[in-house]
Amino acid sequence: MRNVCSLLSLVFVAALVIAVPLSAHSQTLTPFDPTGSTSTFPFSINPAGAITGFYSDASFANHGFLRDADGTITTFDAPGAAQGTFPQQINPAGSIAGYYTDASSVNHGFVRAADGTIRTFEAPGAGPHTFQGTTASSINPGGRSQETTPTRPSLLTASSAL
Amino acid sequence: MFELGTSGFSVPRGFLRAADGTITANVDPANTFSSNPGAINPNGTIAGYYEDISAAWHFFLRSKGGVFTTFDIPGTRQIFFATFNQRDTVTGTYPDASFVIHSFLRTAHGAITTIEAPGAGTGFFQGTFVNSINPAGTITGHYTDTNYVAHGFVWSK
Repeated sequence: MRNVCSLLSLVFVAALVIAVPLSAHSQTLTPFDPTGSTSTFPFSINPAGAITGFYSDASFANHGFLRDADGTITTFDAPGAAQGTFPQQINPAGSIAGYYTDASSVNHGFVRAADGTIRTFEAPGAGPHTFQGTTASSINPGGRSQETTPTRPSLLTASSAL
Repeated sequence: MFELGTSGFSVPRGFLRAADGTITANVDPANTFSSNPGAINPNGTIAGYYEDISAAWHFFLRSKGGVFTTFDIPGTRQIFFATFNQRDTVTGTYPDASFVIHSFLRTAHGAITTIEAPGAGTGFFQGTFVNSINPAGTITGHYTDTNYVAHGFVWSK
């Protein structure tokens, strides 16, 4: 009888030991950083698991990135992005909307297609001065982006023509 | 098509704007002092968070018909962020009493899972921040380590 109790206790403890790792392994957290990153900020994930965001490098320059579901990371900069590229959202088709800041600290919208092509755009009425401009914040499944203009806080919609 | 936002300068309250321009003001739970309805899904459900008149912070879901579900995450001192997906799975970020940052996932059935990056620091304003969730419930965000360096992560269950 004593041996049976000991055996049962052993089985119970073993079950606990096995159960804890199983619970811990039911979640997976995978860290990632683009090469050269000193700070990484993912902003959006689409149904396929593709992630976009921006990172800072050792020179304090900010760049956009796309991380595919398989872990492959592609970095990119919008044309004229002297002070940084800031992707905000990725849609199911893999198009990315965001904004970039030029050398005069003026913001401009961009849409990056899944093939890597980047188009820039300006919201009507966007101011041309420092800290003014266009900041695209979202993109819908059809590839249309929404942007705001700091000088005119109304929400506009413009075709990204992608 | 709906748009969400907050109105009011010092005490923000939620509003809902339909595609035809119709605005529904104060889409907030009862006893709200200030609110942030941060996300709306294709079903018309809204997810967000609010501070009540007793200065306590809570998360909420508002169905398209205007029915509210509120819930709390133990240890929440304040709330920084909340978003969700088409399946009403909510994810959010909050600081604890020591201002260490934590994140969570809440299923539509109310099951809560904490999200803590293994490399996240436990000092002031260090921890795990979520930013986005997809329909499958996969989450991306970043964590700050003990040197306040931010790293990206992807989380799934």
